[in-house]
Amino acid sequence: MSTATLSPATQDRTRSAPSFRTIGLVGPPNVGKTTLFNRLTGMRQKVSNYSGVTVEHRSGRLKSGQTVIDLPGIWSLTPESDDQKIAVQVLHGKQPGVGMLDALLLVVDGTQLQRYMGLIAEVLECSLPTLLLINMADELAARNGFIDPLAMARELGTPTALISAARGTGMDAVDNFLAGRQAAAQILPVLQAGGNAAPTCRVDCGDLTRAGAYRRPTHSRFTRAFDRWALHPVAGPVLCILFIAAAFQIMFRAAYPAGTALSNWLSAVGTSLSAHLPATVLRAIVVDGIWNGIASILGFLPTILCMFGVITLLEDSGYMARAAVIADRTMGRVGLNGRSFLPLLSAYACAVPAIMATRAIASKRDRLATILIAPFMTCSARLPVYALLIAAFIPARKLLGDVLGLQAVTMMLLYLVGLLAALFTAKLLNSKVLEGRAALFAIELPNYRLPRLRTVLLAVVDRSKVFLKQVGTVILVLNLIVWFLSHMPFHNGHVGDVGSSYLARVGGWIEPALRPLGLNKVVGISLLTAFVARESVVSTLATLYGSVNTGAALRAEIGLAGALALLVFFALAMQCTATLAVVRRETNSWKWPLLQFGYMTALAYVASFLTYRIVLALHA
Amino acid sequence: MHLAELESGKRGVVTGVTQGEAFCQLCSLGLNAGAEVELVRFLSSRTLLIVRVDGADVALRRETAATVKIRIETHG
Repeated sequence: MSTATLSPATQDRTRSAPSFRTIGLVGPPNVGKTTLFNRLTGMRQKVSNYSGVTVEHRSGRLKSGQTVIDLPGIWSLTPESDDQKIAVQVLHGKQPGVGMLDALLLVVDGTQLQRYMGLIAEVLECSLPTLLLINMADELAARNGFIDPLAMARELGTPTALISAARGTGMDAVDNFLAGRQAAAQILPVLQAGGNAAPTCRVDCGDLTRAGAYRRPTHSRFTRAFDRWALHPVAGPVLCILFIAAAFQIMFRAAYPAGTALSNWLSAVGTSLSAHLPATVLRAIVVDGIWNGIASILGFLPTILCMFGVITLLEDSGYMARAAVIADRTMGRVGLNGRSFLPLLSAYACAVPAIMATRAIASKRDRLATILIAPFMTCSARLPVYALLIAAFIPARKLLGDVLGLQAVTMMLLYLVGLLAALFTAKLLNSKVLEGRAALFAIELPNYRLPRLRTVLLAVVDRSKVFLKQVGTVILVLNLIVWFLSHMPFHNGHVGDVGSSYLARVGGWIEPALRPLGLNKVVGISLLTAFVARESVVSTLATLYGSVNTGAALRAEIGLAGALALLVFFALAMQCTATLAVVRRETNSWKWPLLQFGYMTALAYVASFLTYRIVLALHA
Repeated sequence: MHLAELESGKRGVVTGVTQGEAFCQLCSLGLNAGAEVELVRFLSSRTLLIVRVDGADVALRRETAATVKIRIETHG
């Protein structure tokens, strides 16, 4: 066993030791590994996928130029899932495309130390220079727990430090280790073999925490008291619904109007800037094709930021786990489990990050089912379409005094249609398509705590980046293609009229299919563009009707029945290329996205047809 | 016996978890051999249960809990 002696000779040697080039960040899931990674690398991150699998490869650069790889969370070196397999391969230097690691930062949660002793022993056996980071030191202390890192370091034979990745305490120990220095000898014992030597753990891991004088933190009294209410059979669901209702209120009253204003302002800026450019095809491409595309994407950002903000707040405070427990009962009836709650709630902002969030669902079958139903949730891209059609067709009549208007009720009904379709589909998948039984659900109920601003902001930025990157780029590129199709052929160097474009010709072909739904060719053309990205239906309609008020024109041409049919179609159809792409990536096959597309389109068509017929019958 | 057969307020020691899809997740929640568990209470007419393991509360479905084998603590 090593001792913590500090001789001048070893000090010199460690100081001149070359620093590591590639450092792996290892640890179990949910111990603050990613928080530490964000803190170390800031915005200098690269996220890609490991070749052939849907496991995220996160790497980042330190200020010193060293590379840090954030490995997927592992519980042991005997891998159970895809991402754990990758982590173990990277750890052993056997993952193609990833270089050998020079050193490891092993992160564990200090409040649950005894659980990680097995993993710590296994990782130390890899014989790489390792710094053990006992994270959440602040919480350990706050909850009356204790660990002596020096004693633990002696036992393990590897430097050990207490840190709080969320607060940024103890980061100097990390910096010293990464620079190959062993400055803080009181925390990092310099080993006789030299500072950066491989660790030499030879003790039984069960004894380790005893040697470190580890004292487990106590569960907070507030948490237990509050859980009596949060998990109460009646009060629990009420509380959960209140939280969600509050989130939607903020979204509708503040975030959505802000987004619309932002998008309008950006379009106005584009228009006024275009006045300074010569009227050529190029100007049309830049202003109408690119700038307006960016404006419409950025217009969603406030809604999405708001939704993710609320979700992250609920997550970081510890409430989300209770919501999952509350939801589990309802989810169980349609063959899902409580873990699907968070992805499905995120899908109200955007299905793409939601589908990526399904990775937390352990049961493969439940995960697939969640992926397949997530696009039914009313995402923020459907809102502009709903808003346009509702404003045009539904009278602004008050229902319950000032509390509720007919327009708001229609909007809620549309949300409900999506939700019911999702539940129906889940039930269908459960009984017919997917094999196996839905039984797996287990979730930890962490202590409640005040959400930390930094954690929340970083998580929101992270999810929004996913939206901008995955969704933004797809929408932008396809927007351009649609723009070309709807303005070509060009005439004498000027853009053509949408009515005589290639797109209009295709619109003419599909018109017969739309007539049973009470829709015309103009709507057909805009639906074609909507298959790229839903929200483009509004701009296409505006372009096709030219200077005429879109609402008034629609009212004259398709009538109430057609409008309701169109709304139902929008609520159910899979019209988002970005979602299809992400489903293909997450399921690793074309089978599911194609099946999903076919099923949703068929369902939308049938439901839309029925709506049209019923409204006609009632209205006649 | 298994975890879901425990009475409310009673303690037991985990003797093993059945291999399968739930295995990994249960380990990550601290439900591995040797861990001491206490059944805090049942929810939604006994389909969900809350157990205390390592000082932390874990909620799990009855079917999932059935894969956790336990023995009753003698002094418990």
